[in-house]
Formats: sequence, C-alpha cells, structure tokens
Amino acid sequence: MTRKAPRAAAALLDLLGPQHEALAGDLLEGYRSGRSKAWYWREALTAIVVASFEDIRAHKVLAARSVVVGWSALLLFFLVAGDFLSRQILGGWVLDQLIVAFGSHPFVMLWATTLRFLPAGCIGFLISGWLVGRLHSSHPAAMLTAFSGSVVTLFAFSSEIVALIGGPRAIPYPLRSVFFMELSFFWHAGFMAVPAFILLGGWWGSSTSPVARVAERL
Amino acid sequence: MRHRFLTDLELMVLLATLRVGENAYGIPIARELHDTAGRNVALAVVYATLDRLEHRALVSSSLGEPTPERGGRAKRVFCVTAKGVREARASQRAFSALWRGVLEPSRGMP
Repeated sequence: MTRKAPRAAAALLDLLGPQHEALAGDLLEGYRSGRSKAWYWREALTAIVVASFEDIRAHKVLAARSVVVGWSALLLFFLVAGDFLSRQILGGWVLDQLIVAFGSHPFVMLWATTLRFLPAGCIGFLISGWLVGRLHSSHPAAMLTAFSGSVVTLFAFSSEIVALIGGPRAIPYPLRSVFFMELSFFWHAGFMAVPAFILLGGWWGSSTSPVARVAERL
Repeated sequence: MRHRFLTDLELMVLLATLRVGENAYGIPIARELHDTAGRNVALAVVYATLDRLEHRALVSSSLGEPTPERGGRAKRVFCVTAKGVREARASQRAFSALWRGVLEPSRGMP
C-alpha cells in the first residue's frame, strides 16, 4: 500500500513552505521508502524555516515593513483596546463577578494576577499577525517569521532593555503594557504561544485579497 | 569583483553532487553527505545550497519526469559545471596549502 504523507505536515508545507515541487516530491519519496513521520515533520518544518530566511534575505525592505506594520498594529491595539480590556473589563467587572461568586478561590487569585491578561494578548497577537499576513500575502511565512522573530527577540531581551534604559517608567505607554503585562504573562505561560498566535492570525489573513494585492504594490 | 570562496557546506554539496554523478537530486545528495561525510543535512538546506551554487553557475539543473512514487512530482536533477569543478579544485588547493606542514611535530601540533 502507498503510504500517505502526514496530512498536517504536508498541509503546513503547502501553505507556508517553498513552492518547490522537487522538494515536496523528495519528501514524499523519502517517506515512502521507509522514513518516519518524525523525519517528514522535521524536514517539512526545516523547509518552512529555510524558505522564510531565504525570502527575508531576498526581500529585506518588505521584511522591515512587516516588522513596522506588526508592531504598529500591536501597540495600537494595546493603546486603544488591550489595556482597557485587561484592566477595566476583565480586571474590573469580570473580576468583581468572580469575587462575588467564588470569594478568594485560588482560581480568582490566578485570574486577578495573570489570566485576565490572556484574552487581550491573544487578540493583540492575532490581529497583528492577521494584518502582516494580509498585507504580505505573497510571502506570508517569511514576513510573519520576521515579525514574530522581532517580538520574540525583544521579549527575550526585555529585562536587559529595561535595565539599560533605567526602569519601566522610562518606557512609553503602550509599550509598557505590552512588555509588563502581555509579554511577561506569555513568557511564563509558554514562549511558543506568541509566535503561534501571530502565525495563526497571519495564516487567517494571508489569503489573497484585492486589498492585499494593492498593498503589495506599494 | 572579489572572489568568494565556497563555504564548507557548499563545497561538500558540490563534491557530493559530483560523487552521485548521474541522477543527482535531493535525496541521493543528502544520503551521500550523510554516508560519506557523516553530515546530516536537511533536504531544504541541500536545495538552498544548490540554488546558491546554481546562481553562481557552479551547477546546472533540469527537471525530470514526474513519477507516481513522488506523488506525480518531478525530480530536479543537478549536474556540476566545468566552472564548479574548477572551483572545487581551487578550494582543495587552498586547503592543501593551509594543511601543508601543519601536522609536522616541530610546529607544535600533537
């Protein structure tokens, strides 16, 4: 019987990987000649990463634009809605209801200290990823890698940056909100959650549309 | 223009392509790198390296016939050009010159 390639890995490769017929054929041939599913997954993910870096190298200006667009969307979201959602709604009204219903239950404490930041973070990363994917639909994987890479890098060095500039107060709002609420929450909740939400939003937004085609020409 | 030497991976891929000979495409080249040089290289990296070599006219490629075991996808078969062979020899000469005398005990090597 002919073995079928792992469906999710093949779909991911088709969606985000290089449009490389020979490579896709080689992967299938290798898999059918006895290589494992893990091998196929590893090769497919490597292909996506390698293609993204090659694309970024070939389209540096577009990559810089994707970083600017992504960060602008992220900061604008936290300026307009994110902080309001985390503080006023989820940390205010919802928290009040939870306290009334469950008192000082550990879940209420967890909600008050960390969980209330989760929805705004998820929405913020999704929206920024969506916009980057939407405006760079000819190279979605590369541009989303560039943007999510910039977020993760800034995230990883956030404490050093804060120390360098002299404390949280020196950071302008809403960057402070992203740094100290959303990113610090996601740092503890799972490092991979940030690029995962950005990629998810980007995948959602990267289908070719007239708006995206016009933006590509700019 | 300044001459750009081959990186170690480019040289290995070039030599593996030469060793495979006819029908040199992703899988046999990656296998050759693993079996002969002990280097595990992902297929995407092999192709990215071959693309760079082709851009410098050190290899050329052509598409083969689509086959059922590859899901109807064609192979991309590579061939090292005369310029590629010259470049590999130049790298070999440079390495040989650098190695010459290095292994002599008087130079302080173990």
